[in-house]
Amino acid sequence: MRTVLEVRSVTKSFGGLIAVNNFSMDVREREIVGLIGPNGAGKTTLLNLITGFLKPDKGKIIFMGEDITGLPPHKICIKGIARTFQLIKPFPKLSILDAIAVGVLARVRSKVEAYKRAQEVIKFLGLKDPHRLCESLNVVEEKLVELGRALATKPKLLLIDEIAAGLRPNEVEFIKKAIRTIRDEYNMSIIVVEHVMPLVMGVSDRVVVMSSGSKIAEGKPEEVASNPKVISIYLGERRGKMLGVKA
Amino acid sequence: MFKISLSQRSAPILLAIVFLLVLPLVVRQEYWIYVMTVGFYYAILASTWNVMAGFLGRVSFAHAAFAAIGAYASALSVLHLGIPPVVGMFIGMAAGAVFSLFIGYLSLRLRGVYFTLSTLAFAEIFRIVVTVEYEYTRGSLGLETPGLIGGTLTYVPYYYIALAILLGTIFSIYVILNSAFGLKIKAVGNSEEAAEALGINTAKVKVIMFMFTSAITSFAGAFYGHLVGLVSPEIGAFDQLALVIAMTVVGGLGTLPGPVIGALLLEVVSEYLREFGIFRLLIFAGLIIVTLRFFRRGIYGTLKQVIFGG
Repeated sequence: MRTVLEVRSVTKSFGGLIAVNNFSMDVREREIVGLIGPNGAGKTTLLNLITGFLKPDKGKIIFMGEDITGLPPHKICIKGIARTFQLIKPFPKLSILDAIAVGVLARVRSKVEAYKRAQEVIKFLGLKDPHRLCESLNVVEEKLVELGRALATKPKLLLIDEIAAGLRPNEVEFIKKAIRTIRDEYNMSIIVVEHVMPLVMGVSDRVVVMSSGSKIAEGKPEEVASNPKVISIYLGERRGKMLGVKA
Repeated sequence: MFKISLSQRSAPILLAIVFLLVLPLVVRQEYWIYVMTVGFYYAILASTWNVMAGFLGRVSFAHAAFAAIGAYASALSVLHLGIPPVVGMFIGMAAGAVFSLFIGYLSLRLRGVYFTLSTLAFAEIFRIVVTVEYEYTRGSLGLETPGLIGGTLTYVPYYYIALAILLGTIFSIYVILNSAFGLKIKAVGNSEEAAEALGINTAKVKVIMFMFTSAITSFAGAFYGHLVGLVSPEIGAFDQLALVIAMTVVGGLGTLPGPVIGALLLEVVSEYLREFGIFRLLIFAGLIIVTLRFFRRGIYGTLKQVIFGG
């Protein structure tokens, strides 16, 4: 399988704090990679480095064989990487339709065409009444719009940052199905940054574990879940409860 | 349940345009025609300021300064190069575009309040330079400029020219905001980071719109100079900016008709309050506070809510 994204020995520090430390990972075509780790492990910083919101101090980011290190976010989006935000950044005064059409405009020039494709994304996500303003939506709808906007840019790689935080179990289940369908229907690679274990363990082909800016484990979900290093650093005593696996 | 059809929505706008077109035929007092012409000038400034503040979320404190740049550029080129004032107005517009590109490029990529502070600094620098460079600008005495139309004794032609510039301005803003580019503008105004993540070159969008609004403002400022016949640093003064802000907010920030309604209303009202002099600004400041506290959508937004329920 082709490699879509290569993160090569990337380091980023803020003042004295090293947020991401000589970190490397790759993502292959049509692969769903779960990125987990305790709070402050550097996951969101890593996403910001990949999407150009931050520039690495050292290291390179290669996307589809091309060095994209240091490009501004809008150029990286056009290259084919889209993201959602952990703290969602909605367009409160735009309608659902408008918000998603904004994403489509990354690929098409015509407004008519943008609305047509936005309607398809809205249908795919099962959002109702697309003329409602984004400020009037509930949490689940807000997150779906955030996801829909990113999808609308037709990425080859989608980064989903803690989308399940604060959702009910049945909603998490819905998101899980949506992520799989996105991969299958849109043929894209996905990185899922997540704290909600049932989601990340259920959906990922491979899991990368980050702690204090470094990679401490990598492998199939069940391998990672039973890795003693991961359990001690990240999952602690609650492992059984969270994963439903016996150590 | 019935949907407001396009004709029902555009009917009030057409009515307003017809009303303004026939107004000089009914009101034959030169004084009020002059007041309305100045009102149109402010309506252009308020409309363009509103694009930056109301749709892009960027507050420019150099808006009146750009009107003054246009006025000075036009007046100086007419006086020194001997060109007709109409051509001078386009030179004024070009000057506004060049200066706004410069400031916009430097400061619009910065986040938050820095753009506003940069425009404030620029406006002050411009005012000081104009006041000090007496040799060219005659300082605070001001430059006398020829009128747009030679030998006319009535303000009626000015009235229609100003109205034409205003309608042209609003029409182009309307077209831009309803285009694909307009959707990008609204996205940037709602969340810059999200817009950037969705492939929008946010810095470019902001610089283009700052140039567009500033160039129109300079064009209007040049017109104003030739209307009044005297170009002084007063055109770019802070109280002029405050007036434009008051007009926009009272009329309805982030709406298209709001700034026009606010500008015409406050201009007419301020004529009645002329005897209060500089204290008029206090009254307008009070109006801003009352509007922001009780009618956040301004006159237009509140009326729309009352009539259409949304």
